[in-house]
Amino acid sequence: MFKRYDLQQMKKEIQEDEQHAGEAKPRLVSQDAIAEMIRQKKVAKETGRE
Amino acid sequence: MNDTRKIRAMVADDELHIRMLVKQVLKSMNAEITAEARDGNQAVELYRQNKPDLTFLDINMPVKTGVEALKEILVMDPKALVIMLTSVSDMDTVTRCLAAGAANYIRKDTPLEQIKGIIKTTWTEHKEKILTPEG
Repeated sequence: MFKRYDLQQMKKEIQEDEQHAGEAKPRLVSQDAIAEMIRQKKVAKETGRE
Repeated sequence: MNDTRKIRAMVADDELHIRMLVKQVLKSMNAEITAEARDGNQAVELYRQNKPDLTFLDINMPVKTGVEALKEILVMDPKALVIMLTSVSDMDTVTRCLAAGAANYIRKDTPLEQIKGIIKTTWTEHKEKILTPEG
């Protein structure tokens, strides 16, 4: 019938969202992306662009 | 890693279980750990004393970070083969390490077999410059 809300939980989540609202989240890099960065670096080195 | 002599490696990490893990991985690849550091300062000093063929550096270590240690090691020995092995994987840190001269960068949450593969590939690509005597 009615969805039950846990008010304490909601309050906590809102507070957490507010605390992190202005923070820039670091962009995480996957292992595959790291491999691609290394491949590009190697190519740049071989072609004299580095 | 089927070269006649064992690869001499150094691992720098403040977490014992990671040092043990790297030791195990390298043992299975006919390489051996000849030095273990628990902080960045010790890593630089042990590198100076041991001149390992291959070095593993964590990023978040006491006294001196892995990034600082990486730079100092490469100033001391521009031929140093360094692989970063860390939980830190933000774009800025990865870029800084690769630009500073790290040969590779491994996230600690990478599956073990993949870690072994990355180490083998890195060694194969760079071993000539490490094993060639200076002249």
